[in-house]
Amino acid sequence: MQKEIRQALAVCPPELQRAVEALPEATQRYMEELRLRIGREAAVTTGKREAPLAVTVRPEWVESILASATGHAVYSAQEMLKNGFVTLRGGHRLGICGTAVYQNGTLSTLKDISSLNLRIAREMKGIGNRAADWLWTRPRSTLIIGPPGRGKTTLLRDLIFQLSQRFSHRVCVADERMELAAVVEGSPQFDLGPKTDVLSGVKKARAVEMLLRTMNPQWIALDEITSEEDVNAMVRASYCGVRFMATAHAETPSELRQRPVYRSMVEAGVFENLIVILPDRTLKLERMISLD
Amino acid sequence: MIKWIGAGLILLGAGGFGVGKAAKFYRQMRQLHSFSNALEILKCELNYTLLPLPELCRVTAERSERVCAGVLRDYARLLEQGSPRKMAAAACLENNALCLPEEAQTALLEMLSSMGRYDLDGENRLLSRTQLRLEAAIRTGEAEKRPMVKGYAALALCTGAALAILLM
Repeated sequence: MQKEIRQALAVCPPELQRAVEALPEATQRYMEELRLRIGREAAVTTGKREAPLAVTVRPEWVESILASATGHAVYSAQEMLKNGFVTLRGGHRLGICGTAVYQNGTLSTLKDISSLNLRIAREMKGIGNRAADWLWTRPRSTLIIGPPGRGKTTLLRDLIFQLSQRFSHRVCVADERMELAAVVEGSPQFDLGPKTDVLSGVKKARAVEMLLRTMNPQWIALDEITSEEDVNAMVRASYCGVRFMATAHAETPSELRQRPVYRSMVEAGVFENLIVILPDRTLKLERMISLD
Repeated sequence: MIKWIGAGLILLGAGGFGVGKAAKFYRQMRQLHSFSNALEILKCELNYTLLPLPELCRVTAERSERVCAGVLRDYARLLEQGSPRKMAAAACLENNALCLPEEAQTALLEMLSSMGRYDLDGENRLLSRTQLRLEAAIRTGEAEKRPMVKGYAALALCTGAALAILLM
């Protein structure tokens, strides 16, 4: 079994681990997610296919997986639980579905958990070679786009490594969800290169400010720009000469431009390079074209 | 000769009883103080670092006295091995040579069975409540100390009188 899968499955009960182990090696190699729905057969996804495992998910499994994933401490994962996920050691992400609990009008946690989705994080050195060659000729702020599950984070991780190792640039990573570097006790679980500094767990907008003030970065890398706040922080920081390497959810450049949250970012010209991950996972490299 | 043996037995019995009682009392008080201090450390670490429960217990154990540290380490180990909280709590209290009043033991069992289930505010309240219960046990122990001393003084007087009569 691959190291990443073994690491991600560490939170699962032995019966479930054995069911995954029994899968053919090819399925294990391309396994992207483990999907668990109470009372249903567990399943693994490889690409768009969902293959069932021969075990039915029991409520106590979900409880024990959540306990292990949160370190038996709701308080330490509360912010993540509010957002419907928990990041595990190794950068793997456990997505959670259940019923919301509101306190004073704000979402405080999720209860009666019904489904879990364990996404396996992988390090794939070299997948960004072509993009890195292109970046060498155009070392400008770059946005990577693609729909969920197409490998934006994996590509970003490789590009960070290449900027740091091959270009010898100083890269600072704002790793809010602790997935990019997956730092455990001060040491990143993924190799992001020798000139990379990682700030973990800080909200992206705040992290950009902190890194800019304290770490003198040439590049700041961040995953999944989702809020106006993140965009504003990047716009402000781009005036200071720092370059960004980031990802955003959008299938095509036109979809990106249509989404209000990215509109100001495109208008401000924060990004000059655009990398589109196509359905067959090849990369389309282009210049970012402004709205007009 | 028989008088000397009798005198020796009285001395041994009374002394052994007194020393045993006193040792148990002091051990109990030391453990109560030790757990109360550990809760204070736990609270500080929790609020400052938000560490996952097993790690939090280990960090606290490093700065706690032997028995208390043993309980916290066992609890962390059992949680990591996948034991449910309640079972881990009961087992770690049982496996260590605890010498606590029943009320304090119940308070610790309840705390360990529920820790990690709440948000930070809830955890703080749980720890504070347990700390109050331990402090109440300490106060009860202190209050019992005076009558206990009187009892031992009476025992010493009676033993002395018995010896005097025997040796007359």
